[in-house]
Amino acid sequence: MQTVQIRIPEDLVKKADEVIKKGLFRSRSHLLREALGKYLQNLNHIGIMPYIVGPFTPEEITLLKSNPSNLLQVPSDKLSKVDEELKKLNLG
Amino acid sequence: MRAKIGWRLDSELSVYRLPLRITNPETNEWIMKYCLFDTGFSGYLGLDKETISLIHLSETGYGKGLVAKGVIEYKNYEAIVELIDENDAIIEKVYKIDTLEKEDVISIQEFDIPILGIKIIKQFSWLILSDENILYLLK
Repeated sequence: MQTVQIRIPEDLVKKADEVIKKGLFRSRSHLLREALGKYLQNLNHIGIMPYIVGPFTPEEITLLKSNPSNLLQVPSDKLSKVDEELKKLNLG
Repeated sequence: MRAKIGWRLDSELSVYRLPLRITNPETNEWIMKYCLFDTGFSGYLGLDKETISLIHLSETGYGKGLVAKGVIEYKNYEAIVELIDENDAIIEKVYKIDTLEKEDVISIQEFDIPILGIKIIKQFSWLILSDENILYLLK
């Protein structure tokens, strides 16, 4: 095992010591090892937005959370027109 | 290739929003939600807190990412996701693409708004006709 020196805010050390005193961990090292291991186990990097979305106003965010008031789906007869255009492009 | 379905640009917000059915794999509770079509989001799907709590998705972990405003932290969940039409019929099922086996339970991130990311978008072919402001899903 490697020895790592870290700086931790005093209130966190106090809280850690209280838990150790209760006998749940043998030492500060024991608590930190377990806490770090569990944190890294649950840390999943799935995806990020490399920008601030929008920026949307609070009103727009409310709209984005609710479903649209107008029907967005286009009627099926419109699809056949697009199909004709796609045929010309010969996309396979 | 043919156009399977199309959606108009949401005129109120000037964005494309697509209807998804999001199902809790443990309880089968589901919700239909229009999600922002966003190729700049590198995940599968982001959902707002209210939607997540409505179908009682279980937290599976958390993540951190660096964005323009700094480091953000988010909670992760899992759900089954399907693209649906106006009659709630399934158009396409979404799969997890970063595993060897084809899994239908995908990772969801808690964000401020419902947002559809590139890991779902790239599973399908799309066509945007700018003069019509319509986004088509091709098959």
